[in-house]
Amino acid sequence: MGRSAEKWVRILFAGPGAIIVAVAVMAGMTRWVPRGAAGIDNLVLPLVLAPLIWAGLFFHACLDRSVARIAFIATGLLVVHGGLVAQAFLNNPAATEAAR
Amino acid sequence: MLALASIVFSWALIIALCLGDPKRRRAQRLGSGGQSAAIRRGMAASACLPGLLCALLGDASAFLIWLGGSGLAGWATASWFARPDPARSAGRTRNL
Amino acid sequence: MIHLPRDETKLMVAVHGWSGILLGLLLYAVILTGTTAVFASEIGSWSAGHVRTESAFSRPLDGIVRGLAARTPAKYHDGVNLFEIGDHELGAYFHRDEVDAAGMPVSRGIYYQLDGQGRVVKALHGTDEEVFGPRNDDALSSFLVDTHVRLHLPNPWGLLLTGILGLAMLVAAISGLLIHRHLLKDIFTLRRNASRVLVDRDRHSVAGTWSLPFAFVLAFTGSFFSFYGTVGVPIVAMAAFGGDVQALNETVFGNPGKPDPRPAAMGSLDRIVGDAIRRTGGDPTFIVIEGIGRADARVTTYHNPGPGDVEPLTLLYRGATGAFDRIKPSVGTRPSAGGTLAAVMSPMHFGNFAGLLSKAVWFALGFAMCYVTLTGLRLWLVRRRGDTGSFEWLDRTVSTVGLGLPFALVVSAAAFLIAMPQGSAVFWTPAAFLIASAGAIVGAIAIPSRDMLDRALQFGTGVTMLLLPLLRLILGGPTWSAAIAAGQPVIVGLDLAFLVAGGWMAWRIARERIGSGAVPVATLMPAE
Repeated sequence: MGRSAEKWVRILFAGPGAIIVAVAVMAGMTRWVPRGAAGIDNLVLPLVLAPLIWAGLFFHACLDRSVARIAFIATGLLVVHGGLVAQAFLNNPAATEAAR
Repeated sequence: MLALASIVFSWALIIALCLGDPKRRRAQRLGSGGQSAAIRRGMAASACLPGLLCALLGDASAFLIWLGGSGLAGWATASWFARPDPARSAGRTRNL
Repeated sequence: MIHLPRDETKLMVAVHGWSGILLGLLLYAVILTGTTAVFASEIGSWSAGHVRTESAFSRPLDGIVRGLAARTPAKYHDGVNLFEIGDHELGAYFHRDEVDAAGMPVSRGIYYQLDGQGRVVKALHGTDEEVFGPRNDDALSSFLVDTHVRLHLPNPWGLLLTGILGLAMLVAAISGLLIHRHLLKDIFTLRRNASRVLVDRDRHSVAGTWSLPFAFVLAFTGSFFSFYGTVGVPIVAMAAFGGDVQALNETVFGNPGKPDPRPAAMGSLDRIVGDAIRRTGGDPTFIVIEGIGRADARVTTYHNPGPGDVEPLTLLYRGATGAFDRIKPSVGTRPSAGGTLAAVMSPMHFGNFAGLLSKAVWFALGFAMCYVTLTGLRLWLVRRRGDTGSFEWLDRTVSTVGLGLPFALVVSAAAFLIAMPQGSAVFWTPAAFLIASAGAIVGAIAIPSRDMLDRALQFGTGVTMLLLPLLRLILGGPTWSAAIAAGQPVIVGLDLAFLVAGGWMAWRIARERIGSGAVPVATLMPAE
C-alpha cells in the first residue's frame, strides 16, 4: 500500500472510524460486561469509559505501525460488538433488562 | 489536616529537588551542585509517600487534594526559582 | 520519558499542535469559565449579597410541602424535588416524567420559588428545560455555568461541542505526554535568556507537566458529562432496553420495590430531615420525594461526602412512615464498582467534595490549564513567525480571546451588580459580556501593536476587578462587618481577592509603562 493510501486509512480509522467503533463498543459492552453487585455495571461502565474507548481507538490508529493491524482490530471490534447488539435485537426485539 | 500536611511534606522535597535539578542549574549557569540521580530518585519517591499514605488510609479526599496541591506546588516552585536574578541579569536584554 | 520512534513523534506533534490551534481558543473559554464556575455558589452569594448561612433544610418544611402538594394537581405528584435557591430559600419542583415527541424523557410540572418565610413568590409551569433558567439574583453564576457547560448554544449542540472540546483536551494531554521525551528532566527548567521559542516551550511544558494528571481527569470527566445525555444514554438504552430511556434510568437510579399506589398520609418530612442530619452530620443539599401521598412513597436525601470521602451520601426513607430504610449509593441500589466509578465523576470534575479547600485547589489547577492552553497557542505561533503567510491575525486573536475573555467576564460581573437591584440582571449580565467582548475586538483591530493590546486588556481587567467591591457596596450590598456578623466570610474573601488580583494586575501594567527604558516584554498571564 502506498504511503498516501496508508495515510488515508489512518485518517479514516482515527477520525470517523474511531467514533463509529467507539459507539458500537459502548452498545456491545452492555451485553458482555458483568452486571456486578448492583446489576448495573454493564450499563454504567460503557457510559463512563466512552471517552477513553474513543481515545484508545484514536491513538491506536495514529501509532500502530501496521495499518493492516489497525484495520483488523477496529473492524473486529465493530463486527463483534455490532453483532452482539444485533443478536440481542433478533432474539428479543423489545429487549429489556427485566426480560433477560 | 492530613491533606495539608501531605502537601507541605511533598512540597519540601519538591523544593529540594528543584534546587538540585541539574538541567535547571545548567540553564541558569549555577555550576555544579546538583544531586546524583540515585538521590534524586529517592527524594522523588519520598515525595510520593504522603499520597501513598492517604491511599492506604482510604482517604480519597486527602489523596486528591494532595495530588492537585503537589502539582501546584511544583509549578509554583519551578516558577519561583526561575525568577531573574537582578545581579546576574544586569545588562542583558531579553531575546525576542 | 516515553521514546516513540521519529515518525510517530512527528505525528503526535502534529496531532497535539493542530488540535490545539484549531480548538484551543474555544477550549480556553470552556476551561476559564469552568475555573470560575468552581466558585459559582460563592460568586452567587457575593454578587447577590446573600448573608444567610443556615440551610433551607434546617428550617421546618413539612407544612410548606404539604401546602404545596395540596395546591398542585395530582398528576404532578410523581416526584417532588426540593433544593435551595437564592439566599438559602426553598425551591420545589412537583413533576411527572413524560416522553417528548422525539422519544426522550422529560419532566413536566410546576416549579415553586419560595421566600425565607416559606411563601410562594413564583410558580412556573412547564418542562424542566423551560422552568429552570437564570433568576435575577443568580444571573451571574448561571451565566458562568451555562457558558462552561454548553457555550450558550442550545441543546444538544452546545453539549456536543463542549464534549468534543473535552476529547480534544484529552488528546492534547495524552499526545503531550507522548512527545515530551524528557518530561521529568525538564520539570524545573524555565529558561529566561533563550530564544522566544524555547522560553514559550518551557513555560508550556513545565505548567503542562505539573498539571497533567488533572488535565487528563478533567478532560475525561468533562467529556463524559457532555456526552452522557446526548449520546451515551440513548445508545446504552437502545442496546439494553430497546430504546427505553426511562427503563434505563429506573434500573440505574431507581428504588425497586412492589408498587403500592394506595393513598397514604406522608410521614413528617421534618422528622426525616432531622434524622438524616443526625446520621450524616450535615444538612441535605437536595431532597427527592417519589410518589407523595402513596403508600409506597420514598424520600431520598442527598448530602455532601463524609470526611475523607469523595462520593456524596444518599439516605433512603419510607415516605408514608418516615422510617429510615438504608444508606444507598448515589448510583445503583447497592454498592458496586460501576456505581462508585459513576458517582465519583461529579466530585472529581467539580472539586466540591471537601469544601473550600478542594475548590481552591481545583480553581488553581483550572488556572494552570488556562495558562497551558494559552502558552501552547503562543508557542505554535512563535514557531511559525517568519513563515510565508503571516499569522499576525491569529496572534491578535489569541490575545483578544486570551485576555479579552477575563476582561469581558469581570465587566459582566460589574453589570450584574448594577442591574440586579433594578431586576434586569438576567438581560444585562450576558449583554455586558457581549459589549465588552465587542470592545476587545474593536481594540484588537484598532490598537496598532499586540503588546499594547495585551497591556490594555490586562489593565482594563485589573481596574474593573478593583471596582467590583466598591460597586457592590455602593449599590447596597452588605458591608464587611455585616457579612462577618452574619457569619458569611465569602463576601469579604471575594472582595479581598478582587482587590488583590485587580490591584496587582493594574499595578504591574502601570509599572511597565513608567519603567525605565527596559525593552517592553510581551507578557502573557499574571502568573508570570
